[in-house]
Amino acid sequence: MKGYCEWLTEMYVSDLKREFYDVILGKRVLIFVNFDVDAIASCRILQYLLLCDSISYSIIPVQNQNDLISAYKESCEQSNHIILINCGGTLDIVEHLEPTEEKVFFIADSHRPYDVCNIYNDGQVCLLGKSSEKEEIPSYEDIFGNDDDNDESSDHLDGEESDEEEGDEEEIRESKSKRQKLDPAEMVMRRREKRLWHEKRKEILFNYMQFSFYSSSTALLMFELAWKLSRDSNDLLWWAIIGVGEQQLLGKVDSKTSVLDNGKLQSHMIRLAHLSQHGGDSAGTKDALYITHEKDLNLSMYRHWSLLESLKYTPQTASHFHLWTLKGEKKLNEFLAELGLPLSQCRQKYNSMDIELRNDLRSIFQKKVEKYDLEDLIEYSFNSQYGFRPKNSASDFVFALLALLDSAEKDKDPADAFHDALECLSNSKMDAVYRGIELAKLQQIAIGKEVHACLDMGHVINAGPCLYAVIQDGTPDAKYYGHPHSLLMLGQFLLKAHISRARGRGLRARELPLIISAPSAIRPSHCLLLGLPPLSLDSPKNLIGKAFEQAAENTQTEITSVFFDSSVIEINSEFRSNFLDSLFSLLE
Amino acid sequence: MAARFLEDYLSLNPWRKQIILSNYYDREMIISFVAVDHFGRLPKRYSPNYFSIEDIVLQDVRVSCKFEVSVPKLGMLDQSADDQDLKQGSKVELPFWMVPTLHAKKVITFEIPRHYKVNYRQILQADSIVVDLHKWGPYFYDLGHHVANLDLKDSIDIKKSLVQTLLNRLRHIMDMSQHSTHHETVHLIANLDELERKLFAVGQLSYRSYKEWVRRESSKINTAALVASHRKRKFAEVTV
Amino acid sequence: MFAQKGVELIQELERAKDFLPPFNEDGVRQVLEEMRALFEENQRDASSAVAGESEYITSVHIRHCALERNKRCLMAYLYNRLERIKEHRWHFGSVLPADIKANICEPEAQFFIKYNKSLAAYMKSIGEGSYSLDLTQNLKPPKNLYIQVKCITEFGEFETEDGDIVVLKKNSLHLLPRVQCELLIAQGILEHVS
Repeated sequence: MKGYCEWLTEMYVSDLKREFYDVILGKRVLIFVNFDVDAIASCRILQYLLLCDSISYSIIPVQNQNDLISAYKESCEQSNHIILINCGGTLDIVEHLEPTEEKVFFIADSHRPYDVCNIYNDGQVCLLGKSSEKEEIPSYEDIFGNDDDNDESSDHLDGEESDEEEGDEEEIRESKSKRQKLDPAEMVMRRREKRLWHEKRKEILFNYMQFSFYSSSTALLMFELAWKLSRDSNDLLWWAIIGVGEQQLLGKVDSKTSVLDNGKLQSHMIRLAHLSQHGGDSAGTKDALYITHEKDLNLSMYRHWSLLESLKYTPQTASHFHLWTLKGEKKLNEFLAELGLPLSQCRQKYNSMDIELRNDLRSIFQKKVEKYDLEDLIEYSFNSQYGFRPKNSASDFVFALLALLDSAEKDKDPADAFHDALECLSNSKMDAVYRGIELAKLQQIAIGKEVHACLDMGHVINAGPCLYAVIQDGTPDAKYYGHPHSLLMLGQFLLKAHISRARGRGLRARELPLIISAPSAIRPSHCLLLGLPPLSLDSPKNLIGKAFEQAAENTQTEITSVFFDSSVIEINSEFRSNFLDSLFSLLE
Repeated sequence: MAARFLEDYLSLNPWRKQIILSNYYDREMIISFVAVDHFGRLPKRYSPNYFSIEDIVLQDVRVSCKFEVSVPKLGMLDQSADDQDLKQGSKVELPFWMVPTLHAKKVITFEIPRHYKVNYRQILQADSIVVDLHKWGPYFYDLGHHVANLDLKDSIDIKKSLVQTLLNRLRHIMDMSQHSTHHETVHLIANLDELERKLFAVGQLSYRSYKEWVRRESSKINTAALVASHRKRKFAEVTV
Repeated sequence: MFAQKGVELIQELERAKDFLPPFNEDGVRQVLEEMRALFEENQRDASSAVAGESEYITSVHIRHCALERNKRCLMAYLYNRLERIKEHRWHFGSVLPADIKANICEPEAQFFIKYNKSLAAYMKSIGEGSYSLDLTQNLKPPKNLYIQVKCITEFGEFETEDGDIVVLKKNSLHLLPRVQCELLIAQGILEHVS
């Protein structure tokens, strides 16, 4: 019986070059990519690497589990090596996709927890990356048990999970015959042990799977592979930065992970900058991408907007100043006045502001943030500049990509939206990015207005165990947040704003999770439900996913779209109230 | 066989076309002007060729002629009279393709189309660039060429004026083709006649190819032009 | 007026600059009719002119002019159609879509088949040994062996020369050897993305 750690390191592929890349050299690969920014960034890095080595690939975007299963069925004959980016880690691949023997799956997924069958799979499913302590993966013995405990009654229970116990008829007969020689008292003891073991197993699995969270970004993983292959460059680093940036912007990871990731990115950045300096042709690199890591204002897309609008639609500042009230706006004007920024300047587009103001903006803000308790307004961020074009920050790109991904509607194929977003990451096509930024601005305005409306009309209701808000069908601009990511942004904004308004008893709301529902932009009669963890916890670990699953089972509602992030689901709008009732009773 | 293919392949190259076309007319017009002096008629090499669609269409223009002899049995040419025979001295509008043979045989005297007459030539001399040549006849240069070849007393002057007009306008056309955007094109070419429009189109094509090369898209394989237009037409039919 | 129908035929071609309109059999027949009528009248007048009545000579000249004009229209019509059919071979490949095939008449179809054969024979002759150089490919100098393509219409399974199967689903991206996908790109099924 192999040791616990050895088993784990075997299923996880930590030496990406030797065990992953060298395996696919010279073969054809099939790649399934999820609909999120991190996946797109990783996909782009992987495309570059595969192009360098002329490895034929086919990329298919998938939005949810059904997409993955049907796309796999259609395309599986093409190749024996299949790469899954940000999808498939949390579902049992072997069971759902029913692959033949020679297929090998490589999963690079930042969703956690991984399905135990994927972890303990014997060679067919390989998980790229390292396992970490905090994932608390249960040990093999706890779940799959020993060979000797092969009893008839327990056969069908753990036979399907474990690969070792493949219903070996001989062994069963042998053990049965062995057992018949034992005492009846010992048999009763054995059965009791069995029952206890099964209960413990259920409990362990439940504890393991109940929280869904994210680990470090897949794009960073792909970049490190590129680094090991000595194919890294500033372009690839920028894509990795965008992937990591999405996780931080949408609050998918806690601060410790993001600090670690940022540290890694910074060290790569410095290393690449040194290389290009010593490379000699400093005159020739005027056309290339420059990446810098510097203190910057943490306002959404402020370089492409007017300062006032950016302050209005960034969740932190909007919640802090209560910008949905008149009093809040006055406070904001006072703040700007104290900073010394004339209101007329702030109303203009950023590029048309006075140049002295623009250059000093950060230091102007720095002076007053402490007084106004807005410390997280100034943060380190990555900025890039391509040749002599204007600077862009990583979050600008993330916003643009999110908006483009979410631009799928009834008439527009989601895969088209995927390709629009992928196009943004090409080397110098800035017009796609600017189009994305314009869309993102509209999206942020729609979200801001919706939050304003919800707070005014009191749509956020305290249902006891949680807060919930339902956005009705037919709200104008609903198409801007009828997608998983934009709904997440809306939910976060709404929660922050609601909490900031709370006083006294209302402060308990800080500890409640939020369930938000909005009409789906792609399928008109369905709605999306999203669950957010409470603000008081620092970690983004989310148990709403499991709760959704349970409630669906209880009410027999069909979940029409099972996304890879289990905290979002799509159901038919008619069943929504029923579902919510059962959900609330579960959460109590 | 190989020569034929080479010819075909070369004909795909837009730059060659432009050079050929622009040099062609300059040189040919000048040569023809000289040739008329020395040889009295146009060198055989002059194109548009026999199969050219434009040449056939442009020769359908009506010119007013007066018959010097009576022509029996062809009264139908004159729509106003009801006679079976054409009387001598009758004024008829004939299509231009009939004119060269009949003029050579002295059967008719015809009037030069008014845009090639003295006063119009003087207008062109004054300022050729602002003239709306499209209104004057969409095939101004080609028709003028045919007219001038008919050994009239004005022939040399007509030829001189045609050459000079094209030379004056060419600079302007080249400038516009290299520096205009997609939207302005319709307005800009409204004043040009067909030959100038072809030159303009070639200039635009070469500019666009250059821009594509700068953006490194020249190696990008595109859908074949006919296939793309075929699809568009099918799509339009289905939606309509 | 003479030769009106002929000019109409030509105008039909001029209006349809980038596709092939159906073969106007009626129009061609009418022009031939007109030519026959003119020719017969000319025969009569010429014989009487030979017989001595010299006044018909001008009419003969005029009708001859009209005959020449009609001939020129017909020749140009046929010639330009053939040129367009040749162009179709280079753009569509050796198999034409059904709706274009419906527009060409039988002799033109024969011409197309023969042109294909000549082209194939020529390509074989300039290749080395049994390898024929495909002139319709690589019309632009190639930059790399493998190109990235996006599938814009649903095509289904496509088998490459090596025997690999590629499933061309709409909106999927692929990296394929250049030689395999050039024909598909030209036909508009795949789109080259850089």
